[in-house]
Amino acid sequence: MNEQDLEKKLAQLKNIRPSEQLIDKIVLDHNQKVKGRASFGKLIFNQIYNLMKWKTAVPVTIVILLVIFFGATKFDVFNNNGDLGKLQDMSKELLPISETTGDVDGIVDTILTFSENEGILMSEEIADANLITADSQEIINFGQSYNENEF
Amino acid sequence: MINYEKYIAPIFRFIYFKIKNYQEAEDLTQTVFLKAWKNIDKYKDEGYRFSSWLYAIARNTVIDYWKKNKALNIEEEILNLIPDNKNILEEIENESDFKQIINSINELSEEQEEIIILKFIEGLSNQEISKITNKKEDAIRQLQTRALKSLKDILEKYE
Repeated sequence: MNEQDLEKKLAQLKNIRPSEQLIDKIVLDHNQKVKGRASFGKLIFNQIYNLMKWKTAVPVTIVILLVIFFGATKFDVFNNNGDLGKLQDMSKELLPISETTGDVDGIVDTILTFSENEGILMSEEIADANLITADSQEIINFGQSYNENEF
Repeated sequence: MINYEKYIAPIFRFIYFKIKNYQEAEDLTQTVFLKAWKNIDKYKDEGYRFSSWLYAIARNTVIDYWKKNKALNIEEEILNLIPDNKNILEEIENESDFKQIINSINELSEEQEEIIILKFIEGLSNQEISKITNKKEDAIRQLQTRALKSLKDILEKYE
């Protein structure tokens, strides 16, 4: 056997192969490792994202709360007693109904006074209705809680 | 992304010819790839061919294997020399030649055996073999000439 023949025969040994099970196993192991790395990477990403989310969410929430607080203070939203006091005072401003004298002028004056008083009472009722609406909105708002997932 | 699949058979053969045990060679092949995945960042830093890097891992894995199995029974080695799987032998033109060549490779020195596997069975370049074995290319050239001559002498002895 010369060297060339020997080289050819040696090259034939390249046909020796591992079992298909081994190849499948190594490929499967590798795929699982790759998946594992991906999920680990995803985990790290989520951690950073959550941290950033908190870092963003907390200051934004504080700013929103401050804006709401100063806005409310400026527009005197919390001072409901003032409105109520005004409404109570309005009832006192009803015009006194003069006693009828029997003549036409007296009757007309009485009717006009009634009409004006009706108008005052109507506006008072509207103000009451608005106050009730405002109260119920405040009650609804009071039940709401901060939701971190909104940010 | 690296296609690991095409490296499995060459790495397996490299280990198989060195330890002469089919089953153990499969286990060690798996170990080599596990090591490769764990240290893939190191490969990027070293910057040479991926196959050379894998062979270097395989070489170290075999050295570790020999350290752990010094007391391995020689008879057991010989029994495991030829794999039970007949399909592996079907593709070889002459089974007796195949067995004879494997036995002859086994009689070579460690260095010569490695050169025969890497150069003549796997067909790697001298540059790649140089990287794997940490030897100069001139030394590789001399070694392959001597290894081939030694193998030829051993085969002629059997004829």
